[in-house]
Amino acid sequence: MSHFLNEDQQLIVNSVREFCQSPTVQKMIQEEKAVGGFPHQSWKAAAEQGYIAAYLPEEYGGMGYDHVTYYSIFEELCKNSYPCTGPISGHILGIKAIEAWGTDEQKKMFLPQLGSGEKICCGAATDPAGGTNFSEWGLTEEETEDGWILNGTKVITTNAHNADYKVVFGRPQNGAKWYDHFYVIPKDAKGLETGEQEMKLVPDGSDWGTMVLKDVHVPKICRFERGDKDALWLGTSYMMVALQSLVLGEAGFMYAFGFATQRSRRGGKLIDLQTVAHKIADMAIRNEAGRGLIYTAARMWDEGRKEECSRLASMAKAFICEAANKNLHDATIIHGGIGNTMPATVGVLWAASLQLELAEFPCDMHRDFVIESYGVDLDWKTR
Amino acid sequence: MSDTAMQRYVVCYKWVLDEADIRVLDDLKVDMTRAKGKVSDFDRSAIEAAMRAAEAQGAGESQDKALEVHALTFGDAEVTRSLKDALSRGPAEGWTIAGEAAKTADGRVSAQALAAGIKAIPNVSCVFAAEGASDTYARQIPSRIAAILDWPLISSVLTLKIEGDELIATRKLEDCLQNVRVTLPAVVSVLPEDYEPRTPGLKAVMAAGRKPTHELGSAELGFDPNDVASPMLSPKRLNVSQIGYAAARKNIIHKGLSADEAAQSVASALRKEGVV
Ligand SMILES: Cc1cc2nc3c(=O)[nH]c(=O)nc-3n(C[C@H](O)[C@H](O)[C@H](O)COP(=O)(O)OP(=O)(O)OC[C@H]3O[C@@H](n4cnc5c(N)ncnc54)[C@H](O)[C@@H]3O)c2cc1C
Repeated sequence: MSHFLNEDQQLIVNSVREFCQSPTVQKMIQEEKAVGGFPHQSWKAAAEQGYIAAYLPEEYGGMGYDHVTYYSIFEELCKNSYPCTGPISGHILGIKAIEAWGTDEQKKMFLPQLGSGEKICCGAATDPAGGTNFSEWGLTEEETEDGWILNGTKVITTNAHNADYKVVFGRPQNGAKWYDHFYVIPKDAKGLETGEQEMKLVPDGSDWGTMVLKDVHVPKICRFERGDKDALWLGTSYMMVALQSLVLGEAGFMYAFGFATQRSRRGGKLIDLQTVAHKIADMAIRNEAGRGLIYTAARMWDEGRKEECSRLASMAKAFICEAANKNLHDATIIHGGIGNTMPATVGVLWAASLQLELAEFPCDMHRDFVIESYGVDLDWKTR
Repeated sequence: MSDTAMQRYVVCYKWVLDEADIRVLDDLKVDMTRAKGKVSDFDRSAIEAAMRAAEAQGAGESQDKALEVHALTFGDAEVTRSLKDALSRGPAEGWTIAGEAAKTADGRVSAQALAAGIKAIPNVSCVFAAEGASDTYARQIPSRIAAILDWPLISSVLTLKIEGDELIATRKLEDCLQNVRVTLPAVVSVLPEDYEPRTPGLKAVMAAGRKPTHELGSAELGFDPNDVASPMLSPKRLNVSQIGYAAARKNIIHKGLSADEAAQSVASALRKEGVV
């Protein structure tokens, strides 16, 4: 959470912690884990608490909170390993797109159910040709009298199977951006098939996979276009991934600090070795720098300083996701051989941190976004 | 429903320091400087008990408010900061008695202040409290309040229900359960076992800020809660010192056993100690 929460925000964060740690919720989580699969119960419980998209206005199923508060809620869920944080992040990419490009009619059609968490969403951009290889995306979109016929495949999408509404980003052509238009497709649309679940490196309860579109007919009302709107909101979605990484980076620090202050070394403790102490200090520095970035960006968004927020959001995504990986790598090494075991957890978290470096574009892409925000034109990207 | 015709259950809660933030230093000094306030854990269960008792009678469902739960607390000037937290857990209104006297209060002082508060709130038919607060766990307040009000006390309550003007409760004794019945008004002190507090959702947290709150002062209480020197508010029990306590380790090593035997031996030792 931000270091500068007011009393109300602090109360909210405390209530989220209390929720996550309550015996009833813990029992629900354990039962759900034992069954496996998408954490529907946890999702429903979080929705009932109002967490899913609390930043949306009440008319769209949210609570009208600012982003500092919303991110603090989300971070607290992550800190407590609440099961559906990955799914929430995938959901938010989809609904932020609807919120940004939707007409009033389109927003009214989808957002209230999605914002409240009654229905689940996903944002499917990644194409088998490469998520960042926009010009070679294979989706075909054929306009008909009453809508569009889509053919193609989207891969490694969070909530691919369980999303009631799939936000499918269209093929960018003639210098357009990947996010310039998209379609909202209901789960049961004819011709929409979901493939096998991908097995993650570190399996979790989330749903991650492929969607195949075979002559899927999408009515006109379900096509969303950017028009002349700015795309600065994307940063607020990237920050959801950065927040998950921030929590992992802090876990790295805690694991390393806890271990090094207890592990004996020649009559002292492991942390007495300056090199170990410095590694751990660096973890703390990276965490604080990341926290500063992300909550400064959030505050900027709340204050309407959207361009500055957008730049900082990509900085946060690039910096925090790599920092978490570095922290957990070093924390694993500090544990010695035991760090390489499952029960020690720290090495598992290291592997898990990789997915956040990749999700919502690899960190180098975000470096592109940062440099572009200073006016540099990376023209090869439109080729 | 007029204000005086509406029945009220009052639940007393204490705003305590969060023990998770309290550190015992190497020299056994207790560092509370970083500790933030919270509604005592046991009191959260008392609030839950009051809410469930009221909701079972339809409270909160209709516009015609025949019954409400109100929260009451006694503390120093900071205590008003607790109201949103307490009210997010369900009570319709909050009452505070805020004054310097709370800083040095013993059980006698706190109970007198709270009893005066209860008298100042119209039409109270039942008072809920926890057996003890999570900081001191002195277990004095409910019984002292009952004595001051001259109302019956039902302590160690596991579960309860209220039917009309009767309260029926199951009390947990050392090795048996006892069912009792009283005619209201009464004071009950509840155990947390069966009253896992609800966790406020975002709507409840937002609504809490809009609920009515009242600060009780000399006019309503008949005494000034800042008047530390008054016989009523000066404590008879004084805190002399407070140092950290760390139980000495027993350092028992279970040696010369197979893995199975060692596991059994450790488990039975832990059971004997009451750890598991
Ligand atoms: C856990 C997880 C969840 C995901 N959820 C979703 C989702 O909900 N929706 C969705 O659409 N996608 C999702 N993805 C996919 C993710 O967005 C893509 O993996 C990512 O954008 C990269 O695309 P790609 O995998 O096709 O790799 P490619 O685009 O082929 O890129 C491969 C590698 O090339 C390098 N590279 C590419 N471009 C650049 C560049 N500009 N500068 C420098 N190096 C570059 C990078 O190292 C990159 O990792 C998810 C991925 C993960 C791991």
